[in-house]
Amino acid sequence: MSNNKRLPKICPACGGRLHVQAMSCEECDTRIEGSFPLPQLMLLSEEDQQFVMDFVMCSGSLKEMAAKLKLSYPSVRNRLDDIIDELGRLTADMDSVEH
Amino acid sequence: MMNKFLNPFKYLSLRKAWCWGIAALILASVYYWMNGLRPTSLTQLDFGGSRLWIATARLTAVWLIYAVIMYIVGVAASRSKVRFGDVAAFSAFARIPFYLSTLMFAIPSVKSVFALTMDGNLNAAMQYVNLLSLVGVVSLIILIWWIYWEYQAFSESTNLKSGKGVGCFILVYILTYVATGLLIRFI
Repeated sequence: MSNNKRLPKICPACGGRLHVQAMSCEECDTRIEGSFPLPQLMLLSEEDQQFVMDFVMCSGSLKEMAAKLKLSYPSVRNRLDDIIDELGRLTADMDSVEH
Repeated sequence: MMNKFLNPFKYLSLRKAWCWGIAALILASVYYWMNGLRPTSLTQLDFGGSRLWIATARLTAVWLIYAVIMYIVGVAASRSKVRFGDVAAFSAFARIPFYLSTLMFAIPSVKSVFALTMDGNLNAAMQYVNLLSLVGVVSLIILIWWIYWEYQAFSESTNLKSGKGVGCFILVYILTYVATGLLIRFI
């Protein structure tokens, strides 16, 4: 099985947000079924997830990130601010669905 | 490469922006002094310049007034943290096309025709209508480049984009134009 498969997050039929329905253990093949919402970080775009990953690997240094990505410091900070906004929006969406 | 030309502020380190911006300001000051040019507002010049320190002080004042107004509008309108150092460095770099547009005054014929227009001798200046048209077209192209860079510098340093960013930039431009016109006459 290819490891390059991308996790779909949006329903192709109605555009709704997808949940995880089933998980299985690779060792003993035990299956767990239910409805598990995806974590907020997983709902970000792949580029944003990679950015968050790089940010953590750079110990949260925007300066180091700017050097690594060959971007200006304000550009990197803007990208982080946009991701923070997006996470805030996702959190608000999830809260509204729960209530 | 094209992206770096259209929006250098996405890639430019702050240190390089400061160095290029300050170097351009110093060179422009010397050039203005040597050609008797004197800034009178954000975009206007006259031929009343005679001292190096006046050219330097006026160019510095225009840049700083612009940066301060950009910073204030950015802090008021942006949800991101805006730093004065970013705004000042990027606005200094973004002024380079404007300085380039004034290089045409080093050409003696252009300088004399513009001196005629500034003195109000429009009939005499109209004898050189071809030269004026050529200079006008070249200036317009460089000024569009300059304003585009100024907008990108504002947008990158304050994280204000699309409609809100354009609206705030127009406000910054108008405020700076008025403020520089009023304030630098005291230098």
